[in-house]
Amino acid sequence: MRVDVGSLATVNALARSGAERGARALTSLTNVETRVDLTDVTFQPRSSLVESVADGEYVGVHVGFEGGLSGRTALAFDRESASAVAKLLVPGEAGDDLAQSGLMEVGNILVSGFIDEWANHLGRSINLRPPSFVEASGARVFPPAVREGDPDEQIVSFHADLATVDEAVDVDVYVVPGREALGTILGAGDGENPLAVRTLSAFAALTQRGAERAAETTSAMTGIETDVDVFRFSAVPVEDVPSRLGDDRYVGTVFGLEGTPSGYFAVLFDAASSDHVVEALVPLEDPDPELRESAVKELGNVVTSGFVDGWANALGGTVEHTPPDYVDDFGDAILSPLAGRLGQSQEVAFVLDSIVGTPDESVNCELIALPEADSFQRALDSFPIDAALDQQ
Amino acid sequence: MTDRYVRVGLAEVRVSTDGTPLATSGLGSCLAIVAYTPDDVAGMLHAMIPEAPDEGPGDRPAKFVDTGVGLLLDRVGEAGDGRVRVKLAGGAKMFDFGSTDASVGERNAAAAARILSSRDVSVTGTDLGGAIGRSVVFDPTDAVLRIRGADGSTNRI
Repeated sequence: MRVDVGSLATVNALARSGAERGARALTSLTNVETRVDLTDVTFQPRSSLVESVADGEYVGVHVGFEGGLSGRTALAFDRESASAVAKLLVPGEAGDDLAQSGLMEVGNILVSGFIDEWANHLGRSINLRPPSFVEASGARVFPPAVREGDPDEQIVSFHADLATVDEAVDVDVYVVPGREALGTILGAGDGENPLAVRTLSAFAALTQRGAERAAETTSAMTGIETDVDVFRFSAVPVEDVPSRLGDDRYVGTVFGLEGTPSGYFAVLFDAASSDHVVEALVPLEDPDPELRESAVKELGNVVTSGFVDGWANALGGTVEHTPPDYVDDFGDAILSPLAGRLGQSQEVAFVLDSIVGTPDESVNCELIALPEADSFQRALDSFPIDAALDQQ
Repeated sequence: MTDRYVRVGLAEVRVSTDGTPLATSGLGSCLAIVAYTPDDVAGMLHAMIPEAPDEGPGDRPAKFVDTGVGLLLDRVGEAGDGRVRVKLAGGAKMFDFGSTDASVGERNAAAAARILSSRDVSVTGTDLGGAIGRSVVFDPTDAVLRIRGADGSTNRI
Protein backbone atom coordinates (compact mmCIF):
# COMPACT_ATOMS: atom_id res chain seq x y z
CA MET A 1 0.00 0.00 0.00
CA ARG A 2 1.38 3.42 -0.90
CA VAL A 3 1.85 6.13 1.66
CA ASP A 4 -0.69 8.88 1.14
CA VAL A 5 0.62 12.25 2.35
CA GLY A 6 -3.04 13.22 2.56
CA SER A 7 -3.34 10.86 5.52
CA LEU A 8 -0.84 13.06 7.36
CA ALA A 9 -3.07 16.03 6.62
CA THR A 10 -6.06 14.12 7.96
CA VAL A 11 -4.34 13.13 11.18
CA ASN A 12 -3.21 16.70 11.64
CA ALA A 13 -6.77 17.94 11.20
CA LEU A 14 -7.88 15.37 13.79
CA ALA A 15 -5.20 16.57 16.19
CA ARG A 16 -6.31 20.18 15.72
CA SER A 17 -9.99 19.49 16.23
CA GLY A 18 -9.12 17.30 19.21
CA ALA A 19 -7.06 20.10 20.74
CA GLU A 20 -9.84 22.62 20.02
CA ARG A 21 -12.38 20.32 21.67
CA GLY A 22 -10.10 20.16 24.72
CA ALA A 23 -9.60 23.94 24.72
CA ARG A 24 -13.37 24.54 24.64
CA ALA A 25 -13.89 22.18 27.57
CA LEU A 26 -11.14 23.93 29.51
CA THR A 27 -12.63 27.34 28.71
CA SER A 28 -15.99 26.31 30.09
CA LEU A 29 -14.41 24.76 33.19
CA THR A 30 -12.24 27.77 34.06
CA ASN A 31 -14.20 30.65 32.48
CA VAL A 32 -10.92 31.82 30.94
CA GLU A 33 -10.67 31.70 27.17
CA THR A 34 -8.17 29.03 26.13
CA ARG A 35 -7.00 28.69 22.56
CA VAL A 36 -4.92 26.31 20.47
CA ASP A 37 -1.70 27.99 19.35
CA LEU A 38 -0.15 25.09 17.49
CA THR A 39 -0.74 21.51 16.51
CA ASP A 40 1.68 19.23 14.77
CA VAL A 41 2.27 15.60 14.00
CA THR A 42 5.96 14.94 14.31
CA PHE A 43 8.34 12.10 13.47
CA GLN A 44 11.60 12.45 15.33
CA PRO A 45 14.28 10.28 16.90
CA ARG A 46 13.70 9.70 20.61
CA SER A 47 16.86 11.71 21.32
CA SER A 48 15.32 14.83 19.70
CA LEU A 49 12.05 14.51 21.61
CA VAL A 50 14.01 14.20 24.85
CA GLU A 51 16.24 17.16 23.89
CA SER A 52 13.23 19.37 23.06
CA VAL A 53 12.10 19.39 26.72
CA ALA A 54 15.57 19.07 28.29
CA ASP A 55 15.73 22.50 29.92
CA GLY A 56 12.24 22.68 31.42
CA GLU A 57 10.81 22.13 34.88
CA TYR A 58 7.37 20.65 34.50
CA VAL A 59 4.27 19.51 36.21
CA GLY A 60 2.68 16.80 34.13
CA VAL A 61 -0.17 14.38 33.88
CA HIS A 62 0.13 10.97 32.20
CA VAL A 63 -2.91 9.27 30.73
CA GLY A 64 -2.82 5.93 28.96
CA PHE A 65 -5.45 4.81 26.45
CA GLU A 66 -6.43 1.38 25.16
CA GLY A 67 -9.17 -0.48 23.33
CA GLY A 68 -9.67 0.59 19.71
CA LEU A 69 -6.29 2.35 19.91
CA SER A 70 -3.54 2.16 22.49
CA GLY A 71 -0.79 4.54 23.49
CA ARG A 72 0.33 7.10 26.01
CA THR A 73 -0.22 10.78 26.46
CA ALA A 74 1.63 13.32 28.51
CA LEU A 75 0.59 16.85 29.36
CA ALA A 76 3.33 19.20 30.37
CA PHE A 77 2.64 22.45 32.19
CA ASP A 78 5.52 24.68 33.06
CA ARG A 79 5.41 25.29 36.82
CA GLU A 80 3.87 28.77 36.66
CA SER A 81 1.16 27.54 34.33
CA ALA A 82 0.39 24.62 36.59
CA SER A 83 -0.10 26.90 39.56
CA ALA A 84 -2.16 29.33 37.43
CA VAL A 85 -4.44 26.46 36.34
CA ALA A 86 -4.77 25.21 39.90
CA LYS A 87 -5.78 28.75 41.00
CA LEU A 88 -8.40 28.98 38.25
CA LEU A 89 -9.92 25.66 39.28
CA VAL A 90 -9.62 26.05 43.03
CA PRO A 91 -9.65 29.73 43.97
CA GLY A 92 -7.82 30.70 47.16
CA GLU A 93 -4.94 28.84 48.70
CA ALA A 94 -5.46 25.34 47.38
CA GLY A 95 -3.73 22.53 49.22
CA ASP A 96 -1.37 20.37 47.16
CA ASP A 97 -3.87 17.53 47.00
CA LEU A 98 -6.62 19.74 45.65
CA ALA A 99 -4.31 21.39 43.13
CA GLN A 100 -3.10 17.98 42.02
CA SER A 101 -6.57 16.59 41.51
CA GLY A 102 -7.52 19.75 39.61
CA LEU A 103 -4.60 19.29 37.22
CA MET A 104 -5.44 15.62 36.71
CA GLU A 105 -8.99 16.65 35.85
CA VAL A 106 -7.63 19.10 33.27
CA GLY A 107 -5.40 16.32 31.91
CA ASN A 108 -8.37 14.06 31.45
CA ILE A 109 -10.37 16.77 29.70
CA LEU A 110 -7.61 17.63 27.21
CA VAL A 111 -6.71 14.03 26.45
CA SER A 112 -10.40 13.15 26.00
CA GLY A 113 -10.56 15.87 23.35
CA PHE A 114 -7.95 14.07 21.23
CA ILE A 115 -9.18 10.56 21.89
CA ASP A 116 -12.83 11.37 21.14
CA GLU A 117 -11.84 12.72 17.72
CA TRP A 118 -9.94 9.55 16.88
CA ALA A 119 -12.68 7.30 18.22
CA ASN A 120 -15.23 9.12 16.02
CA HIS A 121 -12.97 9.05 12.98
CA LEU A 122 -12.15 5.35 13.31
CA GLY A 123 -15.55 4.28 14.58
CA ARG A 124 -13.88 2.49 17.49
CA SER A 125 -14.28 2.74 21.18
CA ILE A 126 -11.16 3.90 23.04
CA ASN A 127 -10.86 3.87 26.81
CA LEU A 128 -8.79 6.20 28.99
CA ARG A 129 -6.92 4.78 31.95
CA PRO A 130 -6.84 6.74 35.22
CA PRO A 131 -4.38 9.67 35.06
CA SER A 132 -1.21 9.84 37.12
CA PHE A 133 0.57 12.95 38.32
CA VAL A 134 4.27 13.80 37.85
CA GLU A 135 6.54 16.68 38.80
CA ALA A 136 9.70 16.38 36.78
CA SER A 137 12.68 17.99 35.12
CA GLY A 138 13.25 17.58 31.41
CA ALA A 139 12.25 14.38 29.66
CA ARG A 140 11.06 12.74 32.88
CA VAL A 141 7.79 14.52 32.18
CA PHE A 142 7.21 11.76 29.60
CA PRO A 143 6.22 8.24 30.66
CA PRO A 144 9.15 5.74 30.68
CA ALA A 145 7.80 3.94 27.60
CA VAL A 146 8.20 7.19 25.64
CA ARG A 147 11.52 8.49 26.98
CA GLU A 148 13.45 5.24 27.45
CA GLY A 149 14.78 3.05 24.65
CA ASP A 150 16.85 3.29 21.49
CA PRO A 151 17.74 7.00 21.07
CA ASP A 152 17.58 6.67 17.27
CA GLU A 153 14.12 5.09 17.17
CA GLN A 154 11.64 7.33 15.35
CA ILE A 155 8.91 8.43 17.76
CA VAL A 156 5.70 9.81 16.33
CA SER A 157 3.91 12.31 18.50
CA PHE A 158 0.84 14.49 18.20
CA HIS A 159 1.52 17.78 19.89
CA ALA A 160 -0.69 20.73 20.72
CA ASP A 161 0.24 23.95 22.45
CA LEU A 162 -2.67 25.53 24.31
CA ALA A 163 -2.60 28.90 26.00
CA THR A 164 -5.01 31.23 27.74
CA VAL A 165 -5.45 34.59 26.01
CA ASP A 166 -3.34 36.41 28.61
CA GLU A 167 -0.66 33.70 28.23
CA ALA A 168 -0.67 32.96 31.98
CA VAL A 169 -1.28 29.32 31.16
CA ASP A 170 0.74 27.44 28.59
CA VAL A 171 0.33 23.71 28.26
CA ASP A 172 1.84 21.22 25.84
CA VAL A 173 -0.09 18.07 25.12
CA TYR A 174 1.81 15.11 23.63
CA VAL A 175 -0.01 12.01 22.46
CA VAL A 176 2.23 9.09 21.52
CA PRO A 177 0.31 6.26 19.89
CA GLY A 178 1.66 2.73 19.97
CA ARG A 179 3.18 1.49 16.72
CA GLU A 180 0.18 -0.59 15.74
CA ALA A 181 -2.17 2.27 16.59
CA LEU A 182 -0.10 4.54 14.40
CA GLY A 183 -0.60 2.29 11.40
CA THR A 184 -4.32 2.42 12.02
CA ILE A 185 -4.34 6.21 12.30
CA LEU A 186 -2.28 6.66 9.14
CA GLY A 187 -4.68 4.41 7.28
CA ALA A 188 -2.04 1.85 6.34
CA GLY A 189 -3.72 -1.10 7.99
CA ASP A 190 -2.80 -2.96 11.16
CA GLY A 191 0.45 -4.74 11.71
CA GLU A 192 3.66 -4.66 13.66
CA ASN A 193 5.48 -2.47 11.19
CA PRO A 194 3.07 -0.63 8.94
CA LEU A 195 4.42 0.57 5.61
CA ALA A 196 3.36 4.20 6.12
CA VAL A 197 5.29 4.42 9.34
CA ARG A 198 8.31 2.61 7.89
CA THR A 199 8.44 4.82 4.80
CA LEU A 200 8.00 8.10 6.62
CA SER A 201 10.49 7.04 9.29
CA ALA A 202 13.02 6.03 6.64
CA PHE A 203 12.53 9.30 4.74
CA ALA A 204 12.96 11.22 8.00
CA ALA A 205 16.15 9.26 8.72
CA LEU A 206 17.47 10.01 5.21
CA THR A 207 16.79 13.71 5.71
CA GLN A 208 18.42 13.61 9.11
CA ARG A 209 21.58 12.34 7.41
CA GLY A 210 21.34 15.40 5.13
CA ALA A 211 21.35 17.55 8.27
CA GLU A 212 24.38 15.67 9.56
CA ARG A 213 26.20 16.39 6.30
CA ALA A 214 25.22 20.04 6.69
CA ALA A 215 26.76 20.06 10.16
CA GLU A 216 29.96 18.51 8.80
CA THR A 217 30.10 21.11 6.01
CA THR A 218 29.57 23.96 8.47
CA SER A 219 32.33 22.57 10.70
CA ALA A 220 34.72 22.20 7.76
CA MET A 221 34.09 25.71 6.42
CA THR A 222 34.10 27.61 9.71
CA GLY A 223 36.43 25.48 11.83
CA ILE A 224 33.68 25.51 14.48
CA GLU A 225 32.67 22.00 15.51
CA THR A 226 28.89 21.67 15.01
CA ASP A 227 26.46 18.80 15.32
CA VAL A 228 22.75 18.08 14.71
CA ASP A 229 20.95 18.86 18.00
CA VAL A 230 17.38 18.28 16.98
CA PHE A 231 15.73 16.76 13.97
CA ARG A 232 11.96 16.71 13.39
CA PHE A 233 9.66 15.93 10.51
CA SER A 234 6.22 17.40 11.09
CA ALA A 235 2.92 17.85 9.36
CA VAL A 236 1.42 21.20 10.40
CA PRO A 237 -1.29 23.50 9.02
CA VAL A 238 0.45 25.96 6.64
CA GLU A 239 -0.62 28.89 8.81
CA ASP A 240 1.33 27.40 11.74
CA VAL A 241 4.63 27.24 9.82
CA PRO A 242 5.87 30.84 10.45
CA SER A 243 5.39 30.66 14.22
CA ARG A 244 7.89 27.80 14.40
CA LEU A 245 10.67 30.40 14.41
CA GLY A 246 8.87 33.11 16.42
CA ASP A 247 9.84 36.75 16.03
CA ASP A 248 13.55 36.42 16.87
CA ARG A 249 15.96 37.77 14.25
CA TYR A 250 17.59 35.30 11.89
CA VAL A 251 20.28 35.77 9.25
CA GLY A 252 20.76 33.34 6.40
CA THR A 253 19.72 32.16 2.99
CA VAL A 254 16.54 30.83 1.41
CA PHE A 255 16.37 28.67 -1.72
CA GLY A 256 13.69 27.41 -4.07
CA LEU A 257 13.99 23.68 -4.90
CA GLU A 258 13.06 22.08 -8.24
CA GLY A 259 12.87 18.32 -8.62
CA THR A 260 11.63 15.45 -6.49
CA PRO A 261 10.82 16.98 -4.17
CA SER A 262 10.31 20.63 -5.14
CA GLY A 263 9.73 23.26 -2.49
CA TYR A 264 11.86 25.56 -0.33
CA PHE A 265 14.91 25.27 1.87
CA ALA A 266 16.17 27.77 4.44
CA VAL A 267 19.51 27.92 6.27
CA LEU A 268 19.01 30.41 9.11
CA PHE A 269 21.40 31.38 11.88
CA ASP A 270 20.13 33.18 14.93
CA ALA A 271 21.46 36.73 14.94
CA ALA A 272 24.23 36.19 17.51
CA SER A 273 25.56 33.04 15.90
CA SER A 274 25.61 34.62 12.45
CA ASP A 275 28.24 37.00 13.84
CA HIS A 276 30.34 34.03 15.02
CA VAL A 277 30.00 32.31 11.67
CA VAL A 278 30.94 35.42 9.68
CA GLU A 279 33.92 35.98 11.98
CA ALA A 280 35.07 32.43 11.26
CA LEU A 281 34.50 32.69 7.50
CA VAL A 282 35.94 36.19 6.92
CA PRO A 283 39.29 36.74 8.59
CA LEU A 284 38.88 40.52 8.73
CA GLU A 285 38.15 42.95 11.54
CA ASP A 286 34.57 44.25 11.06
CA PRO A 287 33.88 43.10 7.45
CA ASP A 288 31.53 45.28 5.38
CA PRO A 289 27.90 44.18 4.89
CA GLU A 290 28.53 42.99 1.34
CA LEU A 291 31.30 40.67 2.48
CA ARG A 292 29.19 39.36 5.35
CA GLU A 293 26.34 38.68 2.95
CA SER A 294 28.49 36.86 0.45
CA ALA A 295 30.06 34.69 3.18
CA VAL A 296 26.64 33.69 4.50
CA LYS A 297 25.41 32.98 0.95
CA GLU A 298 28.43 30.83 0.16
CA LEU A 299 27.96 28.74 3.31
CA GLY A 300 24.20 28.45 2.58
CA ASN A 301 24.92 27.28 -0.95
CA VAL A 302 27.29 24.52 0.09
CA VAL A 303 25.08 23.35 2.97
CA THR A 304 22.01 23.25 0.70
CA SER A 305 23.73 21.34 -2.09
CA GLY A 306 24.92 18.69 0.38
CA PHE A 307 21.48 18.46 1.93
CA VAL A 308 19.45 18.03 -1.26
CA ASP A 309 22.03 15.75 -2.92
CA GLY A 310 21.20 13.20 -0.21
CA TRP A 311 17.57 13.19 -1.39
CA ALA A 312 18.53 13.10 -5.06
CA ASN A 313 20.94 10.19 -4.59
CA ALA A 314 18.48 8.09 -2.59
CA LEU A 315 15.62 8.79 -5.01
CA GLY A 316 17.73 8.40 -8.14
CA GLY A 317 16.81 11.87 -9.46
CA THR A 318 18.02 15.42 -9.18
CA VAL A 319 17.01 18.35 -7.03
CA GLU A 320 18.14 21.74 -8.36
CA HIS A 321 18.18 24.82 -6.18
CA THR A 322 17.87 28.51 -7.06
CA PRO A 323 20.68 30.96 -6.24
CA PRO A 324 20.56 31.97 -2.57
CA ASP A 325 18.27 34.78 -1.41
CA TYR A 326 20.01 36.50 1.53
CA VAL A 327 17.78 37.41 4.45
CA ASP A 328 18.15 39.24 7.76
CA ASP A 329 14.72 39.44 9.36
CA PHE A 330 12.19 38.19 11.94
CA GLY A 331 12.02 34.37 11.78
CA ASP A 332 8.25 34.27 11.25
CA ALA A 333 8.45 36.96 8.55
CA ILE A 334 11.05 34.88 6.68
CA LEU A 335 8.84 31.79 6.70
CA SER A 336 5.58 33.59 5.87
CA PRO A 337 6.10 33.90 2.08
CA LEU A 338 7.21 30.26 1.87
CA ALA A 339 4.12 29.11 3.75
CA GLY A 340 2.03 31.53 1.69
CA ARG A 341 3.25 30.05 -1.59
CA LEU A 342 2.68 26.47 -0.42
CA GLY A 343 -0.67 27.44 1.07
CA GLN A 344 -2.12 28.23 -2.33
CA SER A 345 -2.20 24.54 -3.17
CA GLN A 346 -2.10 22.67 0.15
CA GLU A 347 -3.57 23.04 3.64
CA VAL A 348 -0.91 21.12 5.49
CA ALA A 349 2.82 21.74 5.21
CA PHE A 350 5.47 19.06 5.67
CA VAL A 351 8.30 20.58 7.64
CA LEU A 352 11.71 18.90 7.88
CA ASP A 353 13.36 20.91 10.55
CA SER A 354 16.87 20.44 12.00
CA ILE A 355 18.92 22.47 14.41
CA VAL A 356 22.66 22.39 13.81
CA GLY A 357 24.77 23.91 16.52
CA THR A 358 27.58 23.83 19.02
CA PRO A 359 27.09 22.47 22.55
CA ASP A 360 27.58 25.97 24.04
CA GLU A 361 24.92 27.34 21.62
CA SER A 362 27.31 29.99 20.28
CA VAL A 363 26.30 28.69 16.84
CA ASN A 364 22.68 27.78 16.31
CA CYS A 365 21.41 27.16 12.78
CA GLU A 366 17.90 26.16 11.70
CA LEU A 367 17.68 24.08 8.52
CA ILE A 368 14.10 24.05 7.32
CA ALA A 369 12.92 22.11 4.27
CA LEU A 370 9.37 22.66 3.06
CA PRO A 371 8.58 20.21 0.24
CA GLU A 372 5.59 20.94 -1.94
CA ALA A 373 2.90 18.27 -1.31
CA ASP A 374 2.53 16.68 -4.77
CA SER A 375 6.26 16.35 -5.30
CA PHE A 376 6.70 15.08 -1.75
CA GLN A 377 4.14 12.39 -2.58
CA ARG A 378 6.17 11.50 -5.71
CA ALA A 379 9.33 11.35 -3.61
CA LEU A 380 7.74 8.92 -1.15
CA ASP A 381 6.28 6.83 -4.00
CA SER A 382 9.71 6.41 -5.57
CA PHE A 383 11.53 5.96 -2.27
CA PRO A 384 13.48 2.67 -2.16
CA ILE A 385 12.53 2.09 1.44
CA ASP A 386 14.25 -1.27 2.02
CA ALA A 387 17.55 -0.07 0.58
CA ALA A 388 17.33 3.05 2.73
CA LEU A 389 16.63 1.04 5.85
CA ASP A 390 19.55 -1.29 5.08
CA GLN A 391 21.90 1.69 5.06
CA GLN A 392 20.95 2.76 8.56
CA MET B 1 -0.41 52.83 26.19
CA THR B 2 -1.02 49.81 28.39
CA ASP B 3 1.25 46.79 28.19
CA ARG B 4 -1.74 44.53 27.56
CA TYR B 5 -2.41 43.53 23.98
CA VAL B 6 -4.89 41.47 22.11
CA ARG B 7 -2.44 39.26 20.21
CA VAL B 8 -3.58 38.33 16.73
CA GLY B 9 -2.14 35.09 15.38
CA LEU B 10 -1.69 34.17 11.75
CA ALA B 11 -5.00 33.32 10.08
CA GLU B 12 -6.96 35.03 12.85
CA VAL B 13 -9.34 37.94 13.23
CA ARG B 14 -9.62 39.45 16.70
CA VAL B 15 -11.67 42.39 17.88
CA SER B 16 -11.01 44.81 20.74
CA THR B 17 -14.01 46.64 22.20
CA ASP B 18 -12.47 48.12 25.37
CA GLY B 19 -9.60 50.13 23.93
CA THR B 20 -6.98 47.38 24.39
CA PRO B 21 -4.38 47.62 21.60
CA LEU B 22 -4.20 44.88 18.97
CA ALA B 23 -0.80 43.47 18.05
CA THR B 24 0.67 41.04 15.57
CA SER B 25 4.19 40.09 14.54
CA GLY B 26 5.94 38.27 11.75
CA LEU B 27 4.39 40.11 8.83
CA GLY B 28 6.56 39.14 5.89
CA SER B 29 4.43 38.65 2.81
CA CYS B 30 1.38 38.48 5.11
CA LEU B 31 -0.96 41.43 5.57
CA ALA B 32 -2.24 43.01 8.77
CA ILE B 33 -5.54 44.72 8.07
CA VAL B 34 -7.01 46.90 10.81
CA ALA B 35 -10.64 48.03 10.74
CA TYR B 36 -11.84 50.57 13.29
CA THR B 37 -14.82 52.75 14.15
CA PRO B 38 -15.04 56.18 15.84
CA ASP B 39 -16.14 54.59 19.15
CA ASP B 40 -12.77 52.87 19.74
CA VAL B 41 -13.83 49.46 18.47
CA ALA B 42 -11.16 47.87 16.30
CA GLY B 43 -10.37 44.53 14.73
CA MET B 44 -7.23 43.11 13.15
CA LEU B 45 -6.82 40.39 10.51
CA HIS B 46 -3.48 38.65 9.87
CA ALA B 47 -3.91 36.93 6.48
CA MET B 48 -1.32 35.01 4.46
CA ILE B 49 -2.82 34.03 1.08
CA PRO B 50 -4.58 36.34 -1.44
CA GLU B 51 -7.60 34.24 -2.36
CA ALA B 52 -9.51 31.30 -0.95
CA PRO B 53 -9.75 28.32 -3.30
CA ASP B 54 -12.87 27.88 -5.45
CA GLU B 55 -14.29 25.34 -3.00
CA GLY B 56 -14.19 27.93 -0.21
CA PRO B 57 -11.95 28.78 2.74
CA GLY B 58 -12.89 25.77 4.90
CA ASP B 59 -12.77 26.48 8.61
CA ARG B 60 -10.03 29.15 8.35
CA PRO B 61 -11.52 32.12 6.45
CA ALA B 62 -8.98 34.44 8.10
CA LYS B 63 -6.13 32.63 6.33
CA PHE B 64 -7.15 34.30 3.07
CA VAL B 65 -7.26 38.03 2.33
CA ASP B 66 -10.54 37.91 0.38
CA THR B 67 -12.61 35.93 2.89
CA GLY B 68 -10.74 37.37 5.90
CA VAL B 69 -11.50 41.00 5.03
CA GLY B 70 -15.21 40.18 4.79
CA LEU B 71 -15.09 38.53 8.22
CA LEU B 72 -13.15 41.46 9.72
CA LEU B 73 -15.52 44.12 8.36
CA ASP B 74 -18.58 42.19 9.50
CA ARG B 75 -17.26 41.66 13.03
CA VAL B 76 -16.08 45.25 13.50
CA GLY B 77 -19.29 46.58 11.91
CA GLU B 78 -21.38 44.53 14.36
CA ALA B 79 -19.38 45.51 17.47
CA GLY B 80 -18.82 49.19 16.65
CA ASP B 81 -20.91 52.20 15.81
CA GLY B 82 -20.31 54.45 12.83
CA ARG B 83 -18.32 54.23 9.66
CA VAL B 84 -15.60 51.57 9.45
CA ARG B 85 -12.16 52.72 8.27
CA VAL B 86 -9.15 50.58 7.44
CA LYS B 87 -5.34 50.65 7.66
CA LEU B 88 -2.99 48.11 6.09
CA ALA B 89 0.59 46.99 6.67
CA GLY B 90 2.84 44.19 5.39
CA GLY B 91 2.81 42.51 1.99
CA ALA B 92 6.59 42.58 1.63
CA LYS B 93 8.37 40.91 -1.25
CA MET B 94 10.85 38.90 0.80
CA PHE B 95 12.28 36.71 -2.01
CA ASP B 96 12.01 36.45 -5.78
CA PHE B 97 13.55 32.99 -6.40
CA GLY B 98 14.59 34.24 -9.82
CA SER B 99 10.94 34.63 -10.87
CA THR B 100 9.35 37.74 -12.37
CA ASP B 101 5.82 36.78 -11.24
CA ALA B 102 4.11 38.96 -8.65
CA SER B 103 5.13 37.86 -5.14
CA VAL B 104 2.68 36.57 -2.55
CA GLY B 105 3.07 39.90 -0.72
CA GLU B 106 2.18 41.95 -3.80
CA ARG B 107 -0.80 39.73 -4.55
CA ASN B 108 -2.00 39.94 -0.93
CA ALA B 109 -1.96 43.74 -1.12
CA ALA B 110 -3.76 43.72 -4.49
CA ALA B 111 -6.45 41.34 -3.17
CA ALA B 112 -7.04 43.63 -0.18
CA ALA B 113 -7.31 46.73 -2.39
CA ARG B 114 -9.80 44.94 -4.64
CA ILE B 115 -12.13 43.75 -1.90
CA LEU B 116 -11.98 47.00 0.12
CA SER B 117 -12.85 49.00 -2.96
CA SER B 118 -15.74 46.65 -3.80
CA ARG B 119 -17.10 47.15 -0.24
CA ASP B 120 -16.58 50.93 -0.55
CA VAL B 121 -14.42 51.08 2.59
CA SER B 122 -12.09 54.02 3.00
CA VAL B 123 -8.40 53.22 3.54
CA THR B 124 -6.81 55.84 5.80
CA GLY B 125 -3.23 54.56 5.86
CA THR B 126 -0.91 51.97 4.35
CA ASP B 127 2.65 50.74 4.90
CA LEU B 128 3.03 48.08 2.23
CA GLY B 129 5.69 46.34 0.17
CA GLY B 130 9.43 46.66 0.59
CA ALA B 131 11.57 43.66 1.42
CA ILE B 132 11.52 43.49 5.22
CA GLY B 133 9.32 41.97 7.90
CA ARG B 134 7.17 44.08 10.19
CA SER B 135 5.53 43.94 13.63
CA VAL B 136 2.52 46.17 14.28
CA VAL B 137 0.44 47.50 17.17
CA PHE B 138 -2.85 49.35 16.72
CA ASP B 139 -4.22 51.52 19.50
CA PRO B 140 -8.01 51.91 19.07
CA THR B 141 -8.08 55.01 21.29
CA ASP B 142 -5.97 57.13 18.92
CA ALA B 143 -6.40 55.04 15.75
CA VAL B 144 -2.64 54.98 15.14
CA LEU B 145 -0.96 51.89 13.69
CA ARG B 146 2.64 51.69 14.96
CA ILE B 147 4.99 49.68 12.78
CA ARG B 148 8.43 48.29 13.60
CA GLY B 149 10.58 46.95 10.78
CA ALA B 150 13.06 44.09 11.10
CA ASP B 151 15.81 46.61 10.30
CA GLY B 152 14.88 48.66 13.39
CA SER B 153 12.92 51.28 11.42
CA THR B 154 9.64 52.61 12.82
CA ASN B 155 6.58 54.18 11.25
CA ARG B 156 3.18 55.51 12.39
CA ILE B 157 0.18 55.66 10.11
